[in-house]
Amino acid sequence: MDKYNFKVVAELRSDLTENQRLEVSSKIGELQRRLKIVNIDNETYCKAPPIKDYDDFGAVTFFFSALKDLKEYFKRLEYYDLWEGDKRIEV
Amino acid sequence: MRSDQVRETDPWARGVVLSFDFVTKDLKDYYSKNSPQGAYEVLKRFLLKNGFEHLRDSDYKNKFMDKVDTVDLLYSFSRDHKWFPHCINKVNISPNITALDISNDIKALGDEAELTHTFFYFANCVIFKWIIRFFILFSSFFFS
Repeated sequence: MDKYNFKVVAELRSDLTENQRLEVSSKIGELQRRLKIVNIDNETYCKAPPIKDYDDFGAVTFFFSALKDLKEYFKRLEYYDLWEGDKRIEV
Repeated sequence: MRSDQVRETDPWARGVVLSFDFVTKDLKDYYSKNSPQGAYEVLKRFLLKNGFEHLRDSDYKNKFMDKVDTVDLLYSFSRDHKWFPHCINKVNISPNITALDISNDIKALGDEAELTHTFFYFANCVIFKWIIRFFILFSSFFFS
């Protein structure tokens, strides 16, 4: 795994219905496919390798922006800039 | 403040400069066949409404927004303007660094008197070259 500079931590709420869980998972999957984002553990998302010269910024930041539209489904939605030490907590 | 102290370490502290460029053919396909360049005006209006300042061509500056907020803004624009992601050739977000305008200082260095002196200096050089040439020509004629 290449060293990533940006990551999103997104954890779904545990009280979602099966339908809601399926719907939001499908939207997240579609965003992952478009932006080439991989899920490296249960909650952490970063850009798929190769990562070169901080080129993971756009994909991960757009991913975070898009997930903010679904924020009612998350119990945790956070953005980390490991390059410059920034952190955004949406939920 | 001592001169060896670093005043500002965050390159993004003064905001961002956003530059973009569209593919004209894609604008014709996805935005407008007859007036594709109108897309620049649509995005310009949006950016000005959101606190950006037009610099030149497709360069815009926002002193208060950071790179993440800029992406957020572009995401909201692309959500409302479906043609936008299809027509982009290049989008760059860079730190808004301070430009030090030294044009007047350079102009102040210009000295008319020195300029005249320089002119005569070069003119003299040309004359000196001709004198040497005549001397060589004359001496070769004299000694032949």
